Amino acid sequence: MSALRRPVSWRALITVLAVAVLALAACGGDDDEGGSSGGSSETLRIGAIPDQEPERLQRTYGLLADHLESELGVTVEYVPVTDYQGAVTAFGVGDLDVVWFGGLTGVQARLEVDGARAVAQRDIDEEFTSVFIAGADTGIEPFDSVDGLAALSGHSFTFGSESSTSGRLMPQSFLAEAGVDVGADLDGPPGFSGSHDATIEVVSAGTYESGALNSQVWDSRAEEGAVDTDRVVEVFRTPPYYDYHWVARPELDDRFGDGFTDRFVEALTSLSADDPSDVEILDLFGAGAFIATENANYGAIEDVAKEVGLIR
Amino acid sequence: MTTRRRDVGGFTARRRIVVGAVAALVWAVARAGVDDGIVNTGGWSSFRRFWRSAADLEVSGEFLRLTVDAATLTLSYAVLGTVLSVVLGCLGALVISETLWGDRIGRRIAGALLVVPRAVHEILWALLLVQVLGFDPLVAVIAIGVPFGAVTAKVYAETIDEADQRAYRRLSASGAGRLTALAYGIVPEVRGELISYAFYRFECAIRSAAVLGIIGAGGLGFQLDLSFESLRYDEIWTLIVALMILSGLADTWSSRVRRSRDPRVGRFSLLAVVALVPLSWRWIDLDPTELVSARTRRLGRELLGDLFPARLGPGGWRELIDATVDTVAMSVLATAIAAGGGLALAIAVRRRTMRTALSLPAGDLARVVGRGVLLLFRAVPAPVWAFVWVLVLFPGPWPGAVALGIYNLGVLGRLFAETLEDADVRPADMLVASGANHTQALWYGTLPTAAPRLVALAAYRWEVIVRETVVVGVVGAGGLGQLINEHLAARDFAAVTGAIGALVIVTLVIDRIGAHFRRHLR
Repeated sequence: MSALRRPVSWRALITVLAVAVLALAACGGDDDEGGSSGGSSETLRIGAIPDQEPERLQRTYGLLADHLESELGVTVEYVPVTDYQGAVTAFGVGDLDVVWFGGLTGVQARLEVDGARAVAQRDIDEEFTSVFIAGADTGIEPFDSVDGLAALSGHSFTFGSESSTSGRLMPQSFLAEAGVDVGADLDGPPGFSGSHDATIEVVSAGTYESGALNSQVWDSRAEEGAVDTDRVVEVFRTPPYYDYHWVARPELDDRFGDGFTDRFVEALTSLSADDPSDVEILDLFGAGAFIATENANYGAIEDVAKEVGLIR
Repeated sequence: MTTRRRDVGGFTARRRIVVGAVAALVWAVARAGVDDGIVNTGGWSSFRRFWRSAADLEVSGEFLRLTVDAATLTLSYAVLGTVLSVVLGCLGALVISETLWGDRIGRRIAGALLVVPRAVHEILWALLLVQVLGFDPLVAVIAIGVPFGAVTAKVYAETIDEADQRAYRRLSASGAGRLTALAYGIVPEVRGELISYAFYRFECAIRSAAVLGIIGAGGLGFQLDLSFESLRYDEIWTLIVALMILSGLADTWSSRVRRSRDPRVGRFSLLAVVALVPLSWRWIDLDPTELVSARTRRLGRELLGDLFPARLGPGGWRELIDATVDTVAMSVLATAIAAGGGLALAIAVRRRTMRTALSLPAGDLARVVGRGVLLLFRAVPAPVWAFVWVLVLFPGPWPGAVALGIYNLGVLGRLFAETLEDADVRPADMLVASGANHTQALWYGTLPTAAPRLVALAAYRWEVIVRETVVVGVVGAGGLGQLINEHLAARDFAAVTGAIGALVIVTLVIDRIGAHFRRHLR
């Protein structure tokens, strides 16, 4: 029985509690710039959807942040997110100021924030494509028109991330164009591997017979020799569509001074293929240059998203 | 076995439970489908690569530092989440305790309402909270604290209601108020139980905090997710080892507190946790004022407007019912794997009494290896298992069921082993003394003695697994998890609410079934 010891231990508990409260009071004073309330901080927070390996993103946006800091004269911080919708949410609540979105997530983000603007894209984003891949032993032969996608009927198939433009939205729309209803005509429901790299992995493994992903990722993996071509092959490259772009929150000019958003675009479009340090950034983005863009360019993406049920 | 009437009744109840469980399992297997083949042999090489990387950890100084930081963050979330859940649990228990309120309708309604926060997985809480708080450490703390608080409230209320009520009644009769009577009549008697349950929650919170990282809350789960995106298996294994160490320490500590005969152990442990609170607070830089900031209020209103009124997704009722049935089937398969495998491993790893101990050194080796395997299984978050299994299993409910089964096997195996160790040893000892071998002693002595508690644990785990099916929806497992992902991708929160509603109903039903089991097996 602990009746004898009880007073001691409760006294100790109270002591520790008091110490705890004091410790808290002591560290309650150092309010740092958490800054999610906006306005208070002079930090421009940039983000990106996680469509590439994190190490690569970290390097890409680290370099870009340095470039933007020197061009714009404000502190620029890259905030990593691990999920497409997380990027939309962070932009929606104001934790991120400017985000490198995919076509679909960019449209969703603008629907979330009144007055948000699509401001810049890469030269390649006017003509972006997806690839369809299939297991080498599935008997699916390469073809070169959208109608050929009918060959995927009766095979199992995986997308990448649910919210990916090149790994889900556009492939699904091209399948529909070829008369393939992903809900009914495939072998089982379509999978969602989670990322472009994971799609290559599960199709190579034979878990799914076919899949679709961002052609930029596919090409760079093939170049690195990371694709086992005895097991997985490209069967189709889609027609081009608008994809990735930068979206900026509407209050940037209020926070950082008039014309700031335009200066941000200028800082991107001034990256030049003739300057060695700029080239490093452009290469990481897989681009020749950044160009200005506008909301109207993504009307088609929005229509497709409504058809597919990703914008309701 | 005596043959009094009551035992016969108990026997048929037991038989009913067994028949019901077998029928459920047969149905779930049929629903998941076996005709197209389950195992994808083509994926063995990728699968093997994952396991082989275990011998090839990423141990560069930089990555180890990152791992230690992440582990500290995960631990901090777990500490603060647990403290919040115990506070909420105590308050909730006061509201729903039968001892305090008798059989009033209000108490029953409150008790039923607590199912709602419990049925919603921590990940979903986090996903919804992120919409309001953004990437704030509060998200992880609340996402753990609220559902755990609801479970704790239920357990605490049951503990109070099942305690000896005589002192409470005497105090009430002599004019003491409800709380006073509770504080002096019941709490002293059950304090040990309350503390030890809080420690069990802490152990669960560690695992929860790890999963939450995947939402972007930082910590080990976040790092796991990052390493997964580029399939860096060497990094993944380093993080898994860190999770095993953290989880193993928390489990051992919690075991000590729960099974120690000495009340001081619990009390000193409580002190240690209280001391950890300010450290954790500091580490994650928690700022509760964010909860009531203007932005939070605005976004909170917007989110509520988005969530309600709930509605069906584009697939209507059919899609929702199909997904619900898939979720139930997946949970039955996972529970069968977890309970069957858990029992087998528990038998292998339990410590035995002198008389029934195996005198072989192999027994000790099996124990160490078995415990390591159980720890590995429960330390790795279910979504990670899901990806590993999808490499060698064809898509559908199986990879999800196996992933959840393996993860919960780790949890259940350990609880089962404790139950077997704590079971009354006399029947088994007597059998051995009268010439039975170890297998017979186990089969006719230990297992029947421990059966009610084993079944109760498995039934409770089933309820937990149903909630967890939402975290493996990503691998083509189907079910409500996949449906919720799809609604989230379309930012259709009203449809998310609808799917969560289905999950709440399923949880309620399973909760009733579990209560029925417990009643009949006492």
